Amino acid sequence: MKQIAAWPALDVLDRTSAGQVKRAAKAVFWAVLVGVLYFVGARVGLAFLAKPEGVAVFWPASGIAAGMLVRLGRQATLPVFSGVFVATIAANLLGDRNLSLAVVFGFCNGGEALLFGWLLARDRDGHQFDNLKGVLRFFLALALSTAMMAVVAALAIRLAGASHAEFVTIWQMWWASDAIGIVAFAPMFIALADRPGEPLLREEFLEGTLVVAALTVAACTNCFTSSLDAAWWQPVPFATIFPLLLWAAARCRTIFLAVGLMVVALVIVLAVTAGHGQFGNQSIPIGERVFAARVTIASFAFCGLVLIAVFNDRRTTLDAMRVSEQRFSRLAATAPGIIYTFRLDKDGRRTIPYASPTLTPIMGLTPAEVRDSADAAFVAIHPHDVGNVNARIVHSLRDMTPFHAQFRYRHPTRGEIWLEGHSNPVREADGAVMWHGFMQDITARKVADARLGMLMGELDHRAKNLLAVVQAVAFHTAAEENPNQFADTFNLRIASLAASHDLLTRSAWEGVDLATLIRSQLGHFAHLLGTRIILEGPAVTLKASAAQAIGMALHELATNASKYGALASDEGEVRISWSRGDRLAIGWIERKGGVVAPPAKFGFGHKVMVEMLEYELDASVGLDYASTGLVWQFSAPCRAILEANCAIVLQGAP
Amino acid sequence: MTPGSAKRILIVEDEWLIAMVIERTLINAGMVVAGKTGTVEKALQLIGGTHCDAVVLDANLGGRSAEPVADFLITRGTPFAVVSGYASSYRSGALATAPYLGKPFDAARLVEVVGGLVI
Repeated sequence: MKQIAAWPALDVLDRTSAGQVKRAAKAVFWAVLVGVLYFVGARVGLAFLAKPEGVAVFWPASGIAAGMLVRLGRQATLPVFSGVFVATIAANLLGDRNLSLAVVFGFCNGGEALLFGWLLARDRDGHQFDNLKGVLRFFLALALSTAMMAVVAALAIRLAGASHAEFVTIWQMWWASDAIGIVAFAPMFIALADRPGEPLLREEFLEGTLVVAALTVAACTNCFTSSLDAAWWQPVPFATIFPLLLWAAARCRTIFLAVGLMVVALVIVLAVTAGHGQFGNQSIPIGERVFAARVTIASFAFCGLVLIAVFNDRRTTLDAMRVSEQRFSRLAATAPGIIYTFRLDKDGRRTIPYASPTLTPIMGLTPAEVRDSADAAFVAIHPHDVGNVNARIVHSLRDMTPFHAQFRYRHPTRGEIWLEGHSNPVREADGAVMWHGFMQDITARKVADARLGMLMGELDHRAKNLLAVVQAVAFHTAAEENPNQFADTFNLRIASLAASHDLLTRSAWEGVDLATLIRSQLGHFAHLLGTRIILEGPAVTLKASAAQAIGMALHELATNASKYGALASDEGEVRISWSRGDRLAIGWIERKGGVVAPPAKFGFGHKVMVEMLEYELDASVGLDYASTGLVWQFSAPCRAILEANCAIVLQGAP
Repeated sequence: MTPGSAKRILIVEDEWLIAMVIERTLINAGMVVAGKTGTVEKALQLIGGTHCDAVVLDANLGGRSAEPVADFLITRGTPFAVVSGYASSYRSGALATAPYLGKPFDAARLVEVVGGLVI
C-alpha cells in the first residue's frame, strides 16, 4: 500500500527492543487517534439525527474507521480495531445504552472496518481509484462489510430488547447509515495516498480548492433554497453537481474530489436534519426523505469515483506511453544509424512515416522531406544499385521475409557513401506494408574491405614476384657453379635478397636508406665498418625497386672482394662513397688488396653488378680492375631510383 | 625447328633476372631473342623498330600497367603472352585478351605458350 513519506508507517520488520518500543508507541498513537476521530465522528452522526424521529441519516464514524485502516495498511489492524472499540463504548455510554450492548456495538464497528479493509486489500495494485475495478471493489467491500455487521448489531438490539422495531428494519437502518458513512468519508482518507511521488503544485491546489468551493456552493444553493419547490426546480441539484464532479475528476487530484463529495454529503444530511429545501420538506415522510438523501449521496459518490477512475486510468496509460516514447527517441537519437519505417501503399506510393533524427547527418535528408514521399531518398541511390534495392523490396514483399540490402547512395555533401538496411515487413489493415528497420552507413567498412582486397592482391603479387626472382637466381647460379658450390653461393644470394627485403618490409615498402642497405649487404664484414670499410655520403632513400637491385650488386661486390679483392687479405680497404646531384653516384673503391687482374670469364656476379643495374635502373656502371684494386662506379638518375619524400629514412638498422 | 625459321621473340620484363631466364629458356628452345627491355617507353620504341614474331610481356613494368604496350601490339597484330605475379583476374583491357603465364613459371610451360603464339 502506498504511503506518503510524512505519514509514519508501522514497521513490522524492526525487531530490536528499541524498535519494539517505537512500534508499540506508534500503535498506541494510532489507536488513540482513530479512537478520538471515531468518537468525534460518532458525535457528529448523533448530532445529525433527522428530527423529529431521531433517525441517523448516516454514520460518518464508519467512514473514518474504514478509511484510516485502508490508509494505514494491514499493520494498523489492531490499533484501528481497539480505537474503534473503545470509542464506540465511550460514545454509547455517554448516551443511555447499557454496557453489554455497547461492547457488542464496539465489536460490530471495529469488525466492520476490518472486514472492509480485508475485502478491499485483496488483488490490489496501484491506487484504489486508479481504475474502474478498484472503484467497483470499493463499493462492493463497503456494501458487504456493513451488511454483515448490521446483522450482528440488529440481533443484539433485538435480543437486548433495546428497540421494538422489526429485525429487518433495524438491520436496514444500521446497514444504510454505515454504508453511506463509508461512501462519504472513506475516499478522503484513501485518496491521501494518491500519486505519492508527485508534489502538489500550487496551481493544482488552487484549482482543487476552487472545485471544492464550487461544489459546496452548488450543494448549499440546491439544498437550502426551500422557496423553490416548483416542479422545474426538481432536477436542478443534479444538473449542477455533475459538471463540477466531471471537472474535479478530469483536472484535479483525487483528494479534492473526495473532499468535494464529503462536503456535498454533509450539506445534504444537514438539509435533511435542519428541514431545509427538498430534503427537509416536512410534508414528505422522513423515511422517504432520508432514503432520497442516501441515494443521492451514493449516486454522486459513485459517479465521481467512476469518473476519476476513468481519468486516472487514462492518465496512467498516457504517462506510460510518454515514458516509452521518450525512451525510444533517446535511443533513436544515439543509435549509430537510422531507425525508420518504410511504407508501401497498395497503389505503390512509397513513404517514410518515421525516421530518427540521424537521417539528416547520414543521408542528408530531414525526416519531414521523406514523410509523405520516399522519392527524395530513392532518387539519391546510385543508378547501378537502385534496381537491386527495388528487387529486394519486391522479394521481401512477396514472401514477407526480412529486407536486407547494401547500396551506394549519393549524399548531397559527402559524395558517394555505402548504406546497409535491415528491416522486417508487417502487413497493415489497409493492405499497405510497413517495414520497420535500421539503416547504417557502412562506407568506412567498404573502404577498408576494398583496401584489404587490394593489399591481399599486392601481397600475392609480391610473393610470386619474389619467388620468380628466387627461381631466376637459382637458374643463373646453377648455370655457372659446380654442384658442390651451388648450395653455398645460392644461399648467400638468397640471404642477400632476404636482407634487402627485410629493410623494405620494415619501411612498409616506402624506401630504404642507402647506408643501411650497404651495412645489411656487408654481412659478416660488418665488423670492419669504420676501420677497413669506410662509408661516406649523405642520407638518401632508395626506392623499393632500386633497393633490391643495388642490394644484390653490393652483395656480389662484397663476395667478389672477399674471394679475390681487398677483403681477401688482412690489410685491404674498401671505401664506399656516394653523392647526389641530378644523378646518384656510388663508388666502390678497393685498395691495398694486392694485385688485381680481370677475370678470365665474366660470371653471373659481374652481370649483376653491371648489366642488371643498367637494365633495371637506367644506370651507367663502370667496372675497372685496376692494379691497385677494383673500382666500381655507378650512377643513375635520382628521380628514377630515389624516393621523392626522403623523410622516411631507416637509420640505425643492423 | 630449323635455324632459318627461328622465331624472333621480344622480351618486355622489368626484372632483369627474370628477363634473363626467359631469354635463356627461349634460346634453348631454338628461338631468337630480338631484344629485351623493362619499361613501357622503351618497349614501345623497341616494338616499333624491331622485327619480331611474338612478345613476352610482363603485366607490370616498374609499377606501371603494361596495357599501352598490349594495345600497341594488338594494333600491330603482333601476338603476345602476358607474364604476371598478379592473379589472372587482376588483368584488365588488352592484357586480358592474351595467353597468361603466372609467376613463377616453369620453362616448359613458357616455351609451350610462346610456341603457341608463333605457329
